[in-house]
Amino acid sequence: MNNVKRFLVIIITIPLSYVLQMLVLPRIPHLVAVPNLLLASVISLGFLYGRTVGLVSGVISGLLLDLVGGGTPGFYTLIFSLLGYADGYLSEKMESEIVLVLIALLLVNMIAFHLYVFVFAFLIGKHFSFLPYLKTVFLPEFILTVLGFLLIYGILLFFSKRWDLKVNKGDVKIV
Amino acid sequence: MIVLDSIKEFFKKVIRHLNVKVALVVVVVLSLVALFLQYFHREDSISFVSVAGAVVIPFQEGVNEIGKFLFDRESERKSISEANAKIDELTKENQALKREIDELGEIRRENAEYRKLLKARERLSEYEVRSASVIGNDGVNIFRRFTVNLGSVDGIEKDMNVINADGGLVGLVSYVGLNYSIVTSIIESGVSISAMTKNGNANCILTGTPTSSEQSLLKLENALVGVDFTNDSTLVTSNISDKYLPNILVGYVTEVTPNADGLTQSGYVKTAVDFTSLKEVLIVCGKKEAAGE
Repeated sequence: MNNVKRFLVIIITIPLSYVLQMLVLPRIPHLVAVPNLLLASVISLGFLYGRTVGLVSGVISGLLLDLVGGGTPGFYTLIFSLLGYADGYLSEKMESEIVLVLIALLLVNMIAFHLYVFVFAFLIGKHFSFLPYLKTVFLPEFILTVLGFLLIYGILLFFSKRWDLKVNKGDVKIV
Repeated sequence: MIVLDSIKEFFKKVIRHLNVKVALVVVVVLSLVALFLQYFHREDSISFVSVAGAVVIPFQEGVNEIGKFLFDRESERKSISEANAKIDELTKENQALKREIDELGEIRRENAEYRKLLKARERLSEYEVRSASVIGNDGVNIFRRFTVNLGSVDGIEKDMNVINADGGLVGLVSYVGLNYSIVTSIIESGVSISAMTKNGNANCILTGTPTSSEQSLLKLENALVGVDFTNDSTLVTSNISDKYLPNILVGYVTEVTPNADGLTQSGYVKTAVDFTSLKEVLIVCGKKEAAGE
C-alpha cells in the first residue's frame, strides 16, 4: 500500500510542477527567471522516500521534458534520473535534517544540472560563455528554485506524515 | 484464472528481483543510446517524439488557456511608474522619428528602388499566412526553439518561414509533427541568415549568438567596408537566401566596426522580434523554391 501511495505522490507532484514551471509561471509578469520546479520536486522526492522513488520521479520528469519540449530525447531523462538516484542514495546514508544542508545539496544538484547542460551544449557545438550564463541564467534561477524547493519539500513532508508514509527524515530544523 | 495467477506471480517475481541499481543502469544506457542516435542522425531520430506529442499537446493547450486566463489579465494592469517609463521611451522614440522624417526627403529620391521592393512585398502577401499559438519552449527562458499548435494536418511543412504579427522574422519550422511543429528561432546559435539593407545596396551574413540572445542580438559579418549602416540600418532577408523568403524584416543594425583586414566590417543587429515573450506567431505557407525569381 505504501508503494501505491508513493507512486501516487510522484504522479501528482511531477505533472503539477511541470505545468507550473512550463506553462503557468512563465506567464507571470516581471518574473526574472522561472524556477526549476521539476528539479526541486525530484530532489525532494528523492530525499524523502529514497533512491527508488528518486529514480522513478527523475525518469518521469525527464521524459516529460524530453518528449513535450521538443528537445533531444534522453537529454533530461539522463540527468534527472541520475540526480534523483544520487539524492535518494544520499538521504539513505545521511542523517542531517537541517534546512541549510538541504539548500547546500540543492545548490550542488543545480550546479551538476547546469554543468551538464553546459557541457552538452559545448559538445554539440553551441558555445555559451561561462560568466554571462552564470549571471543571467544560473543565479536568478537558483534563488527562485530554493524557494520552490522549500515549498515543495514542506508540502510533501506534511502530506507524508498525514498519510503515514514512511519517510527517511524526521522533523526539519532551521539550523 | 490460472493464467491470471501465473501472470500475477510473474510480476511479483519481477518486482522482487528488480534492483534499483539495475534500473538506474538501464535508464542511463537507454538515454545514452537515444542521445547518441540523436547525435549521429540529427534529422530522423526525433520522429518518435510524435507519439508523445499527439497525446500531450492537446492537454498542454488546455493548460495554456488557463494560464492565459489567469495572468494575461493581471499583466494588463501596469503600474504608473511603468507608464511613465513608457512615456519617456516614447518621447525618445518620437525624437528619433522626427529625425527620420528629415531623412525622408532623401529617401524619396530612391523611390524607384522602393517600388521594386514593394513588388517583392506583394509577392509575400500572395502566400497564405496562418496564425499559430506558441504552446511550449525547450526549457530555457528564451525562445530559441519552441512548439506551436499547428502541424502537418494543418498543412505546415518543414522550412516554412515564421514571422510575428509585425512582420519581423522569427525563424523556420524545423520539425513538423501531426498536430504541432517545432520552430527554430533565428537567435539559435549556428543559424545564419543572408540579409541585405532595405534598399538592396549591401549584403551581409547574420548569425545567432548564444551569449547575447537575451537582448535579441545577432552578429553581423561579411559586410563590405564602404556600406554606411548608420543611415540605412534596417536589414531584410536577402534574395539570395536559400530558405528565407526575400524582404522579410530581420532587425536593425546597432553597431558596426571595421575588421582588421580593412575590407569588411562586422557588428551587431537587434532583431525586430522580442524573443523573450512570444505568444502568437504567423507561419507563411510557402517556401523559397515556390517563390520563383
